[in-house]
Amino acid sequence: MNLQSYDVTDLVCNESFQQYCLGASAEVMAYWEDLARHNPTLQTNMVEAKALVLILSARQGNGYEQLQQLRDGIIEHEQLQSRLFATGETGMPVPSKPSTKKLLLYTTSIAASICLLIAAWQYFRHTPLQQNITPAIASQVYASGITPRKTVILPDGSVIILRDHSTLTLHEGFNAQHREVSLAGEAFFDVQHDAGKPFVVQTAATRVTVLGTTFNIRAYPKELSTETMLLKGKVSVTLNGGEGKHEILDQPYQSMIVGNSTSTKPLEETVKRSNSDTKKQELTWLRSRLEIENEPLEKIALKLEKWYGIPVKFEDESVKSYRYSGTFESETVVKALQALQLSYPFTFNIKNNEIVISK
Amino acid sequence: MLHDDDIRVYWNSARTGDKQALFALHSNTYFHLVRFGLKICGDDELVKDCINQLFLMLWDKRQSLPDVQQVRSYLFTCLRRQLLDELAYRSKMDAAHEQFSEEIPRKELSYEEIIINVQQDEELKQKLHLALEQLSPRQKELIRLKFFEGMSYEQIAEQTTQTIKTAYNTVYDAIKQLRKILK
Repeated sequence: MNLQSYDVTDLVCNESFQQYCLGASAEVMAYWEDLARHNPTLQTNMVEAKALVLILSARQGNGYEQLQQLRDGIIEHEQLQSRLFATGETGMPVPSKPSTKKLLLYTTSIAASICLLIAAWQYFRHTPLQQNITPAIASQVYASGITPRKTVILPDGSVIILRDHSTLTLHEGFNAQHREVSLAGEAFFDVQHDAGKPFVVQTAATRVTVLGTTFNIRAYPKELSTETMLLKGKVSVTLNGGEGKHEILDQPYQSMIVGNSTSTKPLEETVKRSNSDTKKQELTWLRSRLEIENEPLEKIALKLEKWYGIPVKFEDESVKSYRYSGTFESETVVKALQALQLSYPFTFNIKNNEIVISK
Repeated sequence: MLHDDDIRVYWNSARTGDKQALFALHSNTYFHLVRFGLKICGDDELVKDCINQLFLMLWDKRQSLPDVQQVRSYLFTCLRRQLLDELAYRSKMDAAHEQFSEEIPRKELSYEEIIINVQQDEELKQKLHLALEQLSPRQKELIRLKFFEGMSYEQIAEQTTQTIKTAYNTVYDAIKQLRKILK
């Protein structure tokens, strides 16, 4: 039977598909995601089939994602240790995503020193440590010019990719008192979670408020409309001059389009669309499919630098010759590097909006 | 599934500081640990958190970890202790949760209890309960082996002494029925 004509029941019963749902390996995930990209009908069926497989497997979770979480947790832990034992570090370590929603208290018998580390880690997590390193910045401007993509990594660890002819302005006191930015043009946002300081993006027509999530905003001043598209999480879009009226986007690929010259129009007249497949096409400016066939990290770094528009430097010569193979698609340079780390470890830091790779 | 000897090799490499070995150990034991944990408490978030914490702790204490023969059982024991401690801690916080008190020996949760328990949506819980009631005991057993225990059709056929084709067809018909009710 042809895979493309698989209906939901066929998929649920298919062993390879079951493995995909449980994240058994990177290969099986890439295989199905690729199939889905090229077959809209299959993709719709896959969504329903996956939901059923997850129910029947009692939400055992995704093995691949869980492993990523563990890796993030270890990186976070090691960064904390190096912070505690090596003071006076100048670079800003890349804050990885908090590995779990809630940190369980260690109740088992653990050496007191570890408890102390965890306590300190918890403390640092909620105290923006970067403030010491990056003092409250006066408003700062990043412009992409004719570069197709320019990656900016903010002091709070959020990653932003600017499309060509776009400008991002950090408001004075960013990360110290608030997290407010202005955007003219198009940008993709992968925002670090910080419940204490919502991340706010101001455009000519809208104001988008988030806690920690992934989304894209297209707000070129010369165009007729401003579009906000959600990828993950939840955002709230407020119309400028709309008397505080707002709309929530909480479904992947849901988007909201607002007319630029009609900011006085009530919100009801704006368009809210969901889940259409064409939406995904609109992000092709961003996603690169990186195919690596036994290449040294030095060469891969060049590719990353070119695609994401951020300088990638090496601090350690030996790392340059590490070799990798694989195919992956990542939204940000940080995610791409993390994927590489998974198969052979190295460290990377952000210093003055440059990525520095070391052993 | 990997042989216990291979898992021991990963364990011992992780003890000497090989991070990749720790990740391999995680990949090869994760689903066993989740299933084991779900049978104890039926709370998927708690189980996943505890497993993550367990591996972080192993990495932290790698230098003082013992050279154990049965790595899998060792991990099961650690996870069980962690889960029970966490549940006890929670029940102390909420005295009403009598069922979590240590004195009452708790029995393993059944597959049906687990899959209904981990769902948040009340309506879905109800529907699932109804849907599972419609299945024959044979169908239910095969669904459990396939989706919860993660066995292949080949393994199921072997265990239940039937052909692979029959095993597949039984699962297929059961899924068809489930979908009708869950829709």
